[in-house]
Amino acid sequence: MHKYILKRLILLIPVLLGVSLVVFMMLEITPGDPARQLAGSDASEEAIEQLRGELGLNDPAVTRFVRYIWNACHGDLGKSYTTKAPVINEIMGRFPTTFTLACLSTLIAGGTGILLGIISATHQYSFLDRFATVFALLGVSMPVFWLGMMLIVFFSVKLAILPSSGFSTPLHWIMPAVAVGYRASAIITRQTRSSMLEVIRQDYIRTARAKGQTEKVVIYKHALKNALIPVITVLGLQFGAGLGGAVVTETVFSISGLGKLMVDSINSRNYPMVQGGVLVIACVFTLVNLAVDVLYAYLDPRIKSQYGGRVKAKKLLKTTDAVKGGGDQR
Amino acid sequence: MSEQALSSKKKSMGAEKFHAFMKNKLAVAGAMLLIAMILLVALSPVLAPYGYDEQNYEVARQTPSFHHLAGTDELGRDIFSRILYGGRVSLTIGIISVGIGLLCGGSLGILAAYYGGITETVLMRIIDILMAIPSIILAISICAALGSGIVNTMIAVGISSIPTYARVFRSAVISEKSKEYIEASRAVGAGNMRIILRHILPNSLAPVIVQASLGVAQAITTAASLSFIGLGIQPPNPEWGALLSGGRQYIRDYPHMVVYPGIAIMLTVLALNLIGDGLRDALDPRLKR
Repeated sequence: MHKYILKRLILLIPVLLGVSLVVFMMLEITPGDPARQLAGSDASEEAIEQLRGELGLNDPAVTRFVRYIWNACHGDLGKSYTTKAPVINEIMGRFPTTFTLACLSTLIAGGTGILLGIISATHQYSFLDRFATVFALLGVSMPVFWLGMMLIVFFSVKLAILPSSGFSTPLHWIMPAVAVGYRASAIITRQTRSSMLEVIRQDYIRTARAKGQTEKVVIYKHALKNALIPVITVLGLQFGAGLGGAVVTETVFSISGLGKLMVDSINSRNYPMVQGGVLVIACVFTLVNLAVDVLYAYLDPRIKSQYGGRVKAKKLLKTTDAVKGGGDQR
Repeated sequence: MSEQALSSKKKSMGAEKFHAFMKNKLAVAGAMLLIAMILLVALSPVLAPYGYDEQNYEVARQTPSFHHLAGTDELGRDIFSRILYGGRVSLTIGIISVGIGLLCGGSLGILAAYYGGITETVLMRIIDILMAIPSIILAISICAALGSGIVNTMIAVGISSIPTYARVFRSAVISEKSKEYIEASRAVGAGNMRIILRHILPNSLAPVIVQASLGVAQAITTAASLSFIGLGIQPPNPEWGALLSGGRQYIRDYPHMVVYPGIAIMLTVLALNLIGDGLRDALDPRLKR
């Protein structure tokens, strides 16, 4: 197990390097001169040139990339064009809000999605199954930010029972978390339903029933354990979608999280802030996916027993890949 | 004669798939909804009662009525007409960005799967890197770097979907390339390009078609999100997300300004999802009942 985790951690390094290269390249192709932006509009040409020298902007791109990585490893993601303060401080100040929102929405999605999925699979073609199907179809069809606005119209404007902006109390959390979580919940409902249906038709379920086990034990002990394994991977991917959805939803609910910061920075052309935000979100997303993969391997004894040989480890990576390929179709 | 037998068999297989799709009531409903949507949008210059930028301050911010089916916005523009015209932009972006994703992701996936070895490792690690960034965040950052506008939005949404298509193509090609007929065509001297384009590609399209129909839905939503946060399509261009973005500040007093554009997105995405699910059921042999 440790060997597998270590291996995955080492494999993380090239991915994160690649992500920083992508982020660095974005800053490169963005029109505008960072030195001019930092110096302000009324700075003289000499001052800008001097600043350019100080920032090392005249160095070749490779040197600057290496420096960017080096600085990023030390927690320096550049300076904000508007406040001239280090980008990382602002990002880290805002990040907990976005992270909380993503966690809450994933929690809602996992709770409702898995429950609905089980009910809908065990009562196939019943009223509840049809309800779950419609619930899931609506969920994948509604844009997250539009659902957020509709929630505001209904619960804040019409009924006036929930606050429409901010993120200070648990009452404020409800609508944003539901808006972001509903879509993920719909995806998880579908995934749980199909994976549960597949498991229920297996021989060992028939065996469990034949030996006189109660339906509850058959479903929740025997079937669910196996059916949930692919769902976990989807849940991890949905966490990433939750982070992305949070970025857009924060604008709807005026939540001062990382997403709103990035959107505001895009509008004020404060690119280092945008890139820093992307890098932080990508890192968190990658780490969460790694945790999910480890959990996945830990929960599935078929995979757990495969650790030893090299060929088997490769096979393991491929199986998780295959599930992911299926998972991100939505 | 064998040629004839082959072609007749091929036809019957296509007919069988078509039949399977037509039996799925939800999928047919989705297809009809989409066709209706496309017709409405395509005929918007004829059907729309007003121009998309026709301002009339006397009727500003009116709630839906017989004259203005979806009400008017803060400049007195007819929202129903703007939704119709906006649909042209949204649907075009959806389709073209999927095309970009298919072309780039497809080539990467096919090359990786067909050549295997080091090519596959390198290409799939690149895909892993793109996968490490949630797709909406990737689209946002590309759009932020390139700037707004229809073409840049298409590029951003297209690139952000590359990993998905690369993976779908790769797994489809991997299962196809080890089959005997590929070996046979290589034995008669077909080159790599010929094998890929003439033999492997047509036979691995099924999962790709499913993914593409779901992908158009995804692309429309992503593009709307981009416009909503101020990237993507800029006002006064009536893209659906831009309409929502414009109506956002009036949400308390004039909710109709954000309700109807959202319904347009929802219906289109719903139709595409139903079609995608129907195609998956019809084309995927594993799900054959």
